[in-house]
Amino acid sequence: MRILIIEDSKRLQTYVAKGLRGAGYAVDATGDGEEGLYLAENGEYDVVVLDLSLPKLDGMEILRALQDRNQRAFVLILTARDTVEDRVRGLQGGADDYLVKPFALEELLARIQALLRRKYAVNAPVVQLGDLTINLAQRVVSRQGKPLGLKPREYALLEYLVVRKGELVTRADIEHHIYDERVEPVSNVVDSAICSLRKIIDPPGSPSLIQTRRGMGYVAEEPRA
Amino acid sequence: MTSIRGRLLVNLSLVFLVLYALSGVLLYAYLNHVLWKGFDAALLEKAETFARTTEAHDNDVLEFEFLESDLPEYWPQRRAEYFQVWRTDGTVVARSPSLGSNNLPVPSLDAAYPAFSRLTLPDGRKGGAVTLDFHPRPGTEILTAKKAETERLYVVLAISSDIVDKTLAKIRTGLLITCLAFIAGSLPSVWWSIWDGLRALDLVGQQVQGVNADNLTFRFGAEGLPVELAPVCERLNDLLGRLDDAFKRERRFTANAAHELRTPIAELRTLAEVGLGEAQDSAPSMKEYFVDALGVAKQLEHLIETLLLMARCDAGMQVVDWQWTDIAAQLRESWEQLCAHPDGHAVAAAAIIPAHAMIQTDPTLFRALVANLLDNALAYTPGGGAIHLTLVLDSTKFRLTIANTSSELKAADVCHIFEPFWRKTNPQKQEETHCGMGLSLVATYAKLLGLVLHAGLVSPSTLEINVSGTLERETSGPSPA
Repeated sequence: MRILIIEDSKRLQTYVAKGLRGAGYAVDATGDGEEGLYLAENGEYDVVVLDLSLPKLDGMEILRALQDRNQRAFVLILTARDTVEDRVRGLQGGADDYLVKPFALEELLARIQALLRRKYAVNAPVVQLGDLTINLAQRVVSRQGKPLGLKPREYALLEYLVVRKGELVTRADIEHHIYDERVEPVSNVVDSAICSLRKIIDPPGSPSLIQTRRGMGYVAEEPRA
Repeated sequence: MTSIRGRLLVNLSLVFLVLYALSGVLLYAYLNHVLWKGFDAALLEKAETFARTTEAHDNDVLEFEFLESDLPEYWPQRRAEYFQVWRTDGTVVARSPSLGSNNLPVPSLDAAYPAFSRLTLPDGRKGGAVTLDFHPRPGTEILTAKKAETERLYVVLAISSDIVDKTLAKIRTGLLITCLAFIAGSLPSVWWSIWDGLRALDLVGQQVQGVNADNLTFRFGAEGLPVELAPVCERLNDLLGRLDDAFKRERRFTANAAHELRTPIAELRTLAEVGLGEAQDSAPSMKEYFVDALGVAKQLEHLIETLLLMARCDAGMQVVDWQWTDIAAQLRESWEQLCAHPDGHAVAAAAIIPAHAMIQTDPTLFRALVANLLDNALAYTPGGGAIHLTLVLDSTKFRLTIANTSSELKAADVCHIFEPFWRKTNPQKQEETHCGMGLSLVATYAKLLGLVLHAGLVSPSTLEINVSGTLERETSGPSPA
């Protein structure tokens, strides 16, 4: 999942991005309102973490602009403005969630996960793919009850495929949602990642839960009998 | 509360009443004077005619034309007039037949004449009398003329004053009716004049009622206002402008302070959390550093939250959600939490809480107030000490008392305990959240909820804090379900 952080505090931007990347999200970050709006409008972000006090362009103006362009990204306002009026203005202005600084990184992660579940219309925090169980809230994966150790990016890839279960997910989609601007995806990075993921989640000799559609992409689905 | 309209109505009505009455009295006095003057003039003329028609003859004979002419008004009848004539030696020389056996008042020899008096006539009617001294006209004989010069007579002539009395009674009635009619006509006129005159004041009053901290952008319109009120409205507009600016400045300050203080803490906290996550496999000391940094961040966060909350409350920006709340239930919950976490040092705890205590308050703020009080009591009660909580209430008021052992506190310290950051001693257990702000917050909450807070040492080692207030909020609010 790809997240955009628009936050003027360089340190906070850096450490939140680091924390989110550590949780397996692709993160882009900027401290400038105008650049933030440009990125939000032109990138395929699942969630935008938006500060309100920004140089060049205020957070509320970015929110309005995104609303006008009917952007699909969910917006979480992360701000020091804590009054009820501010919260109401932010949520009525189109934000999907509102978190006041200072905050626990754990809470920010939980809120982002909740937004992602809403975005991909996943009602339950636990998703089944055959006998593979993905707990989206705890970010734990198990197959036939046995926990599987996934690295953050592997988990993010699996999560992205699973929330779009049954849908064709192109390589470009994966590149956009799993890799941020700091990673220059080479031509086979997605294929390698899928291959690596399959080795972890698929027991030897069993059909893979991630099907390849040649020349198009991948589909996460239960293998046909 | 007095009303300008009411006061003006009463005062103006009284003024009009007094003016009408005074005018009536003066007019009556004048007419009374004029009528009696005319009456007396007629009486005097009659007496002078009497004197002119009296003749003196030889042998002490006096001839009274009034008697000779047999004038009917001096004979006994319903509307009779009276006269009586005396010599200087007091002998009566003539009297009108109408007197019968009665006498008129005897004139004094020393007085100046003519003299007028009011009296009751022999027939019982009210009347007026004139006393006149005169020399009779000499008769035809020469000798008599000399004698007449030495003869001095006094005549008292009295007639009924019915005509004057009746005229004055009619004037009195007329004046009274006129006065009442004026008053009856004046009251609505006065009321309308006041109502119309104060309409602009009413308008301004209504507009002032609508002004509160939420609409300080409101300004009084100058159009249609009387010149007397225009400067008042101008000043009020200036005042509102300054208040609005002050509120905006306060809000900007709070927002800026919130941003400037919260963001670095958020940075520190996130740094510590991310660092802690990455230091899982590092040396234990590295992990401890991040744990400590996170602790400092949390302590600062708590401090800043408290300061900002107090600033918001002081600036009137904290929303109070008034509801009917069972504070007995709240207190029991808070008390149970305190008993369940004795904070590492043994204290005796006892509470007296009634089954129910419904008051109109903000449940969240009241809970926070109680939590801070109990937290403070627990934090500063030494091992072996005691905490007592009592809630008493009557039909209109309640009183919450929290007493705890406090061996270090002196009477002179008590006035400081609600000051921010004031501490006499360190708490029994050092915690991230203890920054000397607990009781300051209690004072802020109490002010916000309209409660009275009082602290005192009930014994050298027992601090008692009382929170009291009314069950129902003093302004109008929702009724209990």
